[in-house]
Amino acid sequence: MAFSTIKWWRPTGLLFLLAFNCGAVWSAPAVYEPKSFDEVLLSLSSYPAASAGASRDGLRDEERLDQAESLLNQYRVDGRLRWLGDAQSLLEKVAPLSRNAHFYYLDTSIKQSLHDFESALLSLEQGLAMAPGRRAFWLQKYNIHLVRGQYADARRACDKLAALKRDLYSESCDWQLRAIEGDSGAYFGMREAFASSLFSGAEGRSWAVATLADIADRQQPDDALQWWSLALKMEPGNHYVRSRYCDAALAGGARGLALELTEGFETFDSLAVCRAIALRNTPTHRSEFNALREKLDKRFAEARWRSENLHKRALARYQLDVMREPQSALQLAQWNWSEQREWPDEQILRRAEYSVVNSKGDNL
Amino acid sequence: MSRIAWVAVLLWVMITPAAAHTASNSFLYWGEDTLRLDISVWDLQRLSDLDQNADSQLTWRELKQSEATLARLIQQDLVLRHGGTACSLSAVLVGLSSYSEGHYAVWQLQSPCLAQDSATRELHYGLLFEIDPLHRALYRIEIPDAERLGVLAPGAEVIRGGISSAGDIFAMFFNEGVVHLITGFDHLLFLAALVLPYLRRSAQRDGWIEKSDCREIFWVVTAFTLAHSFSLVLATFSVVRIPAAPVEVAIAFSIGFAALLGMRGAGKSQRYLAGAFGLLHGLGFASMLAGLLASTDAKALALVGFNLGIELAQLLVLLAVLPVLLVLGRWRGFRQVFYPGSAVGLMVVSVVWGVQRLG
Repeated sequence: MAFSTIKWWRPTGLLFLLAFNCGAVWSAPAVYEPKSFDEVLLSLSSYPAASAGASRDGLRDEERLDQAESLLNQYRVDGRLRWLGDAQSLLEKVAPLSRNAHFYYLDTSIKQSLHDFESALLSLEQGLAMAPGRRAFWLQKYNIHLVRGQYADARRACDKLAALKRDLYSESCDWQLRAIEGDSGAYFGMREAFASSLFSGAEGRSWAVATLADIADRQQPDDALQWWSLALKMEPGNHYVRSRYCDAALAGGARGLALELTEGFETFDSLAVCRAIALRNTPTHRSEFNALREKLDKRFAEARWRSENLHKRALARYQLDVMREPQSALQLAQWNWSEQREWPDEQILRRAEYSVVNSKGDNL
Repeated sequence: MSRIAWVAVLLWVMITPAAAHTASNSFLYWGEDTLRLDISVWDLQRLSDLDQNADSQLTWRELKQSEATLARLIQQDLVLRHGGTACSLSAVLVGLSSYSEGHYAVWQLQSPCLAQDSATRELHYGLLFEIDPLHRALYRIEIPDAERLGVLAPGAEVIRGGISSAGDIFAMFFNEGVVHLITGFDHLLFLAALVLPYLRRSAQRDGWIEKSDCREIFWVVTAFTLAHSFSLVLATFSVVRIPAAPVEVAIAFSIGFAALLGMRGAGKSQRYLAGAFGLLHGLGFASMLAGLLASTDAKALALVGFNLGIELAQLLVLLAVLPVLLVLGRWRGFRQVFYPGSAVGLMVVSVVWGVQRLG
């Protein structure tokens, strides 16, 4: 295991958050009683049966794995970290001898979701040692390395994926890496690969169209909106796609579309921040903007108190585009960049740098 | 859905922060003579099924009806101590409060100990940790001159009411360092594996330990100390980040490796090994410290206290054990029985711990 690169902004970022923590004034909120005994506090319609509360005694290891998988599926739907915690506690109870490839899928997925990439990779390697031909592991590996900006490792995983089977997944990773490496034909190559899959019923089309949209963001911004739109139509429940679509809408000046996309999705950080940015620039929605900003302030304050690591990109955007604090946005964006290197991470870093330079110029 | 398609769908959520959503938090507010616990209604449902009429709607009435059951669960997992003695504690549901995630139930915790001196009080919090290792209790101490924010997590489950001054924080972490070194046998066994070969060499000469061997032991201990202090600092401030699991495995195997090397004889290699593996042991100390650091904002001070605690404990153990070993070295059986037996024992322990930690 190699030591991670020493970056000056890591300690700086830590100190920044500590400063926030020390300075945060968090008084106990007021206590109230509901007006009626029948007031509904919580709807349990989306409460997963596998969550704690239901009896977990006497479960067999296989059942634990199935329950953990269903909790991960629920996490995909509503983004609640609770279900990851539930799934993790189930996995911790699986006996070492029952830890099969399925176990390592789930373990890797949980660690990845918590942005504990090093541990995720370790778990992934254990899974790969058991099932080296499972393409899902290679796709996971590709994705972790891609997000971390480790493109040589991502290329190796992508090549392995293609060696096992050439399909839309391997085409997607190939073109995505080429786009990152600066191949100006990557967008058209990926578009062709996607087009040729249209009538074949090939698996992985929604993955491919989202990859195409990501490449369009980099190389053909005018087309990006239509691809994100298609990706969302193919998977309406995919909040990541919705969030990137909203970003593309904002970048294209389509504030109305951004508001439409985010309505009712304020519980997701990136969507809430996207909505707040759209609202901020829409004078007729001033009161809604203020209410949302208050909610986000509260949410981010709780996350800082918890020393939560998952919010850095959304928080950097919030600081830059809502609070107009380029200096703190830059620190967060740099810290985020040291761990995560997707296209939106690069964008927020560049924009924060630009804003800091400009604001310094303004102050001269 | 095929496995790869399932993974692909999940990857969008896992990799990115699009869905990074409020986690399971409870909030503790500790005043001079009050203690309040706010728990999410979501989490109460996880502790006990509250939906009595099974209509998938949780109402204030159902929450009130479950008050006694929930209070019992809270009282089980929260332990208030005063001067080291457990105090009686009762929980009363007094209403609701609002956080970013929605409704929280507010519990007023009552105990005669809350009227006692706050400096000697401590609260052990274990609610929800078993069912959700990602659960956190965010606390705020509101006692004058001791105000602070902190986080309780699995492995860092205690709030001490009187930790206010720098001296208190230093003392607490110094104490933790001492306890960790003494109870963390792997570090001591590693040192033993490095030091024993010099004692065997003295035994071979049929005399007391020579000055040159004493000097080597000094350098071994110094190299180990400097190396683990260095990596402890780097890891604590996130300059290096290595997952705890492989570090713990490597620490276990370092004992066996040192013992195996010692079988070949004593020399300068022990010194280098102490330095190299000392870095790993420092990372092990750091993972232990990480949980404790959640309870304070004074991280640098805590780190100094913790490290000095480790060093002092290490020195004391050496001062206590070395004379015994020196005397043992005069015994005829030291060379033929004690040393080989210890070395093999260290190797066996090393392999057993290593394999256990791999599991």
